[in-house]
Amino acid sequence: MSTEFTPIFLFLLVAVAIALSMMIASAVLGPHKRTKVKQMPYESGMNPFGDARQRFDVRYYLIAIVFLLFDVELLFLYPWAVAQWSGGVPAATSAPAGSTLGPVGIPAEFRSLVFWEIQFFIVILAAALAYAWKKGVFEWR
Amino acid sequence: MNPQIAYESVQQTLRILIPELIVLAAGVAMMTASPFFRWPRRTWCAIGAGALTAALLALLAVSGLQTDMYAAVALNDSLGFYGRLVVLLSGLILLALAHDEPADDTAGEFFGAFLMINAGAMLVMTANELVFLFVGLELVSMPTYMLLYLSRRTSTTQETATKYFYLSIFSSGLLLYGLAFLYGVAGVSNLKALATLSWHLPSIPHPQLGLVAVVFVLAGLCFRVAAVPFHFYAPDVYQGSPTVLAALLSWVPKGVGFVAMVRALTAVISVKGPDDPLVQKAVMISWVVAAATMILGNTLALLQNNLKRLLAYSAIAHAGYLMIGVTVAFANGPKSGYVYYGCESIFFYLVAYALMTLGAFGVIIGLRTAGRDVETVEDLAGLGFTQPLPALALAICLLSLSGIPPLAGFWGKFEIFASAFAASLGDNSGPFILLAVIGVLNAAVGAYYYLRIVVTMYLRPARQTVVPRGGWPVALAVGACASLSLILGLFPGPIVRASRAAALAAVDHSPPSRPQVIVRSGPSPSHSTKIPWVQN
Amino acid sequence: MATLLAITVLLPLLGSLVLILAPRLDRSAARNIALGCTLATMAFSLILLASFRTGVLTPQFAFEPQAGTYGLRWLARPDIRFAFGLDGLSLWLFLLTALLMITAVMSSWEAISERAPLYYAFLLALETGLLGLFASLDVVLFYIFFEFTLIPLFFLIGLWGGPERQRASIMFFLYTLAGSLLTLLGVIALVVVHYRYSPANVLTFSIPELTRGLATLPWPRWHEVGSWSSPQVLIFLLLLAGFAIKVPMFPFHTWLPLAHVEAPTAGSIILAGVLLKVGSYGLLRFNMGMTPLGAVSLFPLLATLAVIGIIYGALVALAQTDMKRLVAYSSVSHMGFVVLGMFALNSTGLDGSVIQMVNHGLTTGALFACVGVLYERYHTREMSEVGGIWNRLPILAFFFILSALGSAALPGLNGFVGEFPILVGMFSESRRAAVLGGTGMILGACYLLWMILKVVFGPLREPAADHEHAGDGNDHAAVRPVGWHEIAGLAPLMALIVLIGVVPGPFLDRIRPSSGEIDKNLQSQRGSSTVAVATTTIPLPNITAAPRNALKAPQGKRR
Repeated sequence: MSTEFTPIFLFLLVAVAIALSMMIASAVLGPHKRTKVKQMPYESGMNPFGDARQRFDVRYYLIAIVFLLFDVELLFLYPWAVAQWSGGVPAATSAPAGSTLGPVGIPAEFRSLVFWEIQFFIVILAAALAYAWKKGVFEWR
Repeated sequence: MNPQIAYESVQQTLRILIPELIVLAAGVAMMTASPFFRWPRRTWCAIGAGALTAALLALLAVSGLQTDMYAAVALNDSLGFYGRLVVLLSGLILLALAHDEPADDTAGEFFGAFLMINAGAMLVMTANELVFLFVGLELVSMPTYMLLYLSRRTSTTQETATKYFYLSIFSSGLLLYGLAFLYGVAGVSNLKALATLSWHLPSIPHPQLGLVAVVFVLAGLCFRVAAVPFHFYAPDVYQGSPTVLAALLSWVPKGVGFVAMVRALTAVISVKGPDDPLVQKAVMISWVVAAATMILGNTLALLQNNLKRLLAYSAIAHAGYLMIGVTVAFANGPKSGYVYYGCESIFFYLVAYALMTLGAFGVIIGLRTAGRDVETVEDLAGLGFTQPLPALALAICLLSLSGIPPLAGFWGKFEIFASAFAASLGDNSGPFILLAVIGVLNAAVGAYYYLRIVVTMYLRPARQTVVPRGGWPVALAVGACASLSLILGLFPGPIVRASRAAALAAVDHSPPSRPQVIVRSGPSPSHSTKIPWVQN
Repeated sequence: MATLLAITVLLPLLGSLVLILAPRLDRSAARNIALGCTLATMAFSLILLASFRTGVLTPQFAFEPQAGTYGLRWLARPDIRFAFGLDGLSLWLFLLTALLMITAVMSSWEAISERAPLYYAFLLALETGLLGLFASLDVVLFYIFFEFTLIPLFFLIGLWGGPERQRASIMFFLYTLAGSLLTLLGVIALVVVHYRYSPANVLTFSIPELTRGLATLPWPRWHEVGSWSSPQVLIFLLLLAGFAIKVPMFPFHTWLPLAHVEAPTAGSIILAGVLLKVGSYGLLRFNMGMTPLGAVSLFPLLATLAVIGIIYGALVALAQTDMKRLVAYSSVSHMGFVVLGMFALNSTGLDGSVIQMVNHGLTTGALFACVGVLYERYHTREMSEVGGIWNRLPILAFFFILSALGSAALPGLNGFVGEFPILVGMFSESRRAAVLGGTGMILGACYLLWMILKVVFGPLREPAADHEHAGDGNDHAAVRPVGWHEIAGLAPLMALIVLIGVVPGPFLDRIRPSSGEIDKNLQSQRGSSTVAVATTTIPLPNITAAPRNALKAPQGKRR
């Protein structure tokens, strides 16, 4: 079974093998001296205090999720902003076979459609923000 | 592809998706508006019903429009049209059953999420693209998590929601992995193009890849339809969640999952014809799943006393009968003219199943006893004479589920078994006949636990007073389900015709006149992605 | 005429709907409606009988849009049709159903007081199911009616039955459902095989077309030789599963005594009189008519089971003290004769078998009705507690004796006309089976006459009177004499018991063409060289030295 995926599988295999062999080697070959200090959890060199399993406030997660939403939104918006007006060359002549869009940007026919789609997307996100705001996600009581 | 053609195709696709867009827009608007407006749940429910009705009208308006089979991500073929019709109508029924369920302050979110589920289900019915299909499936799943969590904040509900959430995410992962391999089979994500390409390729270049795709997609969808070995969540989740959501879970993911199986798997894989090794393996896998699901579902349902658990196992058993149809659909090769298509029987069965299972859950929703919900079989004792109409409706739905003529469920089983008998792998029809025999024996076992409820209702004396609740919407929905089960049993013609048309549309993958196809006989499938008659 | 047949079939259903939907009917209104419906159905059936043409093979009274295509389009699939028609096999069973329904209504006249409208509604729905079943010319339609009969009978037993009615109704329902689902598979298999292997790939669900088509079909073969070479045998077994349970054949009879004992009288009458015939009718129509190779290959097994059923049923009946149980087990024995006649695989046996179905319906129906009449008066069915009713209820005693003698196959009464040709037919096939089956006749005479002796003759014995008449001692002056409705229900049966016994000719003449076709198919299968069946042949003309009453049947065969 030789396919063009074979190198990838081989690569995976080798990567896992190297990682495993290193861990095993260090566990087998390395010196072990268990002292009290070495058994302590690592907390930047200070003596640890309190419980390691400290809880975060649940509101923190909500805010983190909302932040994540807008963070990822940027991931969509940035390529769009670059591609929206940068076309000009008809896509079909330069695009490789099989792909709809060439590397040169959004074809002229699609520009207004894509523009409004993105606006719609932003509106939905804004609605979600309004929803979260009204629900009191940002109030730290 | 020429951008001009592509643009027209996108426009056309957007046009046929207007019903989904209406439902989706209404859902988003309701979600957003819910914290700003303090309306009673009736208002929110009415808005939802209005949106579904508007989508229904829009669907009828776009019924004639078609899109390019190889360019568009969504198809308005017979399957797309009738599928969406069924989703919208069953959505109205579910809405009627749910109208009293949520508290006033979460009603906006509840019905908004409900509309999103409907939109997702409709997207799956039309899907002609791997990614689009996945988006549709997720649009069904994600609001479902919300609904499960929103309804009542008890610890059981939360356990249920968490359980369903994690398992569902896991299955989505499996599905996505499988879809990626399906893409790898021929290097296109358009399903019709995928089918056509695999027909023209001398054999699927990497049967192993194809097999991985089949296994993972099937596994991911088996979770949705609650088929063995991904069935185990169903009883706990049904029992722990409000009855309305159990009804929703027993129908929407199942219908969606089977249509997705037809769209993404059977219609694509089966074009190789029954002699292909991949097709034979796929038949074998789904044969095992079908047999195991039927046997397990029916056997465990025998032991249940809780109505919702019983219906959960019955839902598993029915997934097994439907898997017979999937097995047959895998074996239905590209040649047309089968007496009974596998997917045809699936579609018919799904419609019948929607009616009978929603009706059965609806009766349970519509009854209360001693200040609590009706929970066990014994709670229904004597119902036949204390509450004759609900009991009659439940009896019709249960007899239909057990496949007694002249009810809709009988025709469902008839079509399934007939398609199994009409199928064969080459000259070998033995496995299908064996599967059909296993199927009827299971149907006989299944009749026992349905009959037990009927016996309890009609032949046992009443023990406690059972009162109706839910008002006219629930009564209307239940009445519609029961009477349609009977009417479609007497005159199944329209559904037979529609499911036949949908089946023909689902397996149709050839352009009107097939031009010469040049296929590179290289080892790499991902480079031979040309669809010559689409590219200019 | 075609319309009349459809109306006849659907009329009871209409009556049933009226009974359910009409608000607040009292008992007498309900039973009057039911009686009216059954009488009208009977009248229509008699009109059909009068216009039935003798000696015609093709089904009559059918909608026939094109020649050879029966029935009206009903589903989207053009091939499943709404087709009714009667032929020689179904005609008498159709009439029997219409007749016994009147008896059933009459026997419920006083017995049913609780929820009477619902009761009669179920009874009428059952009648439509049975009439439709016998009249169906389409396999799917047949199957729908076949299964539909379960629902009303389930409720009749479950709601108005005896103390163990729940168990009886569940067992009856599940047992028959499990078998009939396998039968459904067999039916589908027949259609698919016919579609796939017929030269023109004809997809048809029509019974006459299938019978004709399958007889000339080049069946596929799995092996070169041997009786298992063809899927026919497998399909035969699938079909058999449902029908053998319905008949019931020997190892599948366990549901029957329970259902009979627990059912109300009318339920027992219909169950024994008509519903068991559904099984044997299906055997004849499907197993013998469409998969003759299976019948030819498996006949030793089935004949053995039939003989075991005859003797076993008779022996168990001998041991009963409960009259209803006795009659129930006698049904097992007598239905064994029906099956035995079929598997004689010649026209003598087949004719006997068809007429025996009608006979058994009449005599057993009458016996159950008589037991019901007794039970209504004494509230017991124990033979030890009732005796000498000749003095108390002479009319009932007369009916009781006549139907028992008919059932015991006394020459001159109807049972003989059925059982004698069956044994003669079987004798030409296998002497051993015929002789063993003959002992069933003797045992049958034993238990039936014994019952008559204990119940009808001897000194008057009556159970201790009810609490109402506690002071009356053994006097039972209050025992209600036999009422007009009981006489009206039983008298036609008595007339037919005598009539068939004396002049069986007109009955057999109408059966012959259809049974002849089945016989032709069977013989052609036996002629085929690939099937090796041991045949102990006695040339048929030899048997015509039979007594006078049985002459009718063999003579017709001699031709």
